[in-house]
Amino acid sequence: MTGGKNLKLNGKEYDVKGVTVEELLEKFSYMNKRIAVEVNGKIVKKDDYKKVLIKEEDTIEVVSFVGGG
Amino acid sequence: MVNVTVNCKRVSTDKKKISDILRDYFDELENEDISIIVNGHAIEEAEREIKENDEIFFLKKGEIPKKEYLERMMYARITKENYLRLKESKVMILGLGGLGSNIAISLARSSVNKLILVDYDIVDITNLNRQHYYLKDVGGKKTAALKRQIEEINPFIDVEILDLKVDEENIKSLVLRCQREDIILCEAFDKAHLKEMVFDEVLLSDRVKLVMGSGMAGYFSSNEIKTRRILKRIYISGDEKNEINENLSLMSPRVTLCAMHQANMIIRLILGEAEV
Repeated sequence: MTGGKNLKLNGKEYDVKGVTVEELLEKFSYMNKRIAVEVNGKIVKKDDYKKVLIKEEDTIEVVSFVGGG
Repeated sequence: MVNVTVNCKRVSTDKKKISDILRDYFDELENEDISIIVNGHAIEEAEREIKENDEIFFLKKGEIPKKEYLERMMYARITKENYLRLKESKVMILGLGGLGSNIAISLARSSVNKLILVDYDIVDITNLNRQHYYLKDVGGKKTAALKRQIEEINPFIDVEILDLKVDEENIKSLVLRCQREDIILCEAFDKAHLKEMVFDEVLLSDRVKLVMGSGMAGYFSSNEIKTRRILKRIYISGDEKNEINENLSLMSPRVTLCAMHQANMIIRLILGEAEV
């Protein structure tokens, strides 16, 4: 059984609760990559990844910068 | 009598067919040496009937047409209103590789008024599988080669070249200039850290619009390449996944696809569309 509402990461819903931005990034293998993170329409500074807690129903967009061009 | 324009001049005529008035302009040339453009479209059939308000151009093939003629033809194709928006637009392209070179050519064809092309690099032979250069350009600056090409497509585009290796310092003044002069910024670098650097710098500005490319290596499905909007004024095209490395190289179709996503987003912004 899962309870409560899901967060939304890059358009998909996930049942993940009580994590910081950093923990979320680890879980989805984004650590050590060149990215930007937007939570509910605001960019989270890299220094704040450890501090910012993801809430239920938050909408998170991770933008990935990869080489080639 | 019908009223038409011929090479931008108002003409009233009782002639019935385009071919009848063609001879008033070129009596000594063969028909195949003349392009006939009616209402923005080339026609092959000079026997077409003349209609009221037709906008007719007779142009000698191979000759550079007057700026006014090209403008009128664009009005007919994309409306005067849209053309005038393009004539006020300015775009700065950072990096002139597979993305940037193709974007520059596409925007020039679309009559973007001013292009600021930024790159320090020289064309090498390994670039030709995907970048918009020719064998004769190898060994020369990418900026100069592109400027030359654009002059051959539309000599009325204002091309400014900046032979510059963009870094943490000079990116600040480039972004500031975009803000001050209302220039749309296009990121087309190959290195991920430079993409991130441009993104971070644009975040610090108030209102610079940025169109980026990220993830276009290989020959994966075309349909994985998308454009999405972040923070209202930043757009990113690509699959955000497939990066260049030892085992995965860039190929012309996919990098050009991504470039055209970016170019189209830039045109949309110029013409007042903010959604992807």
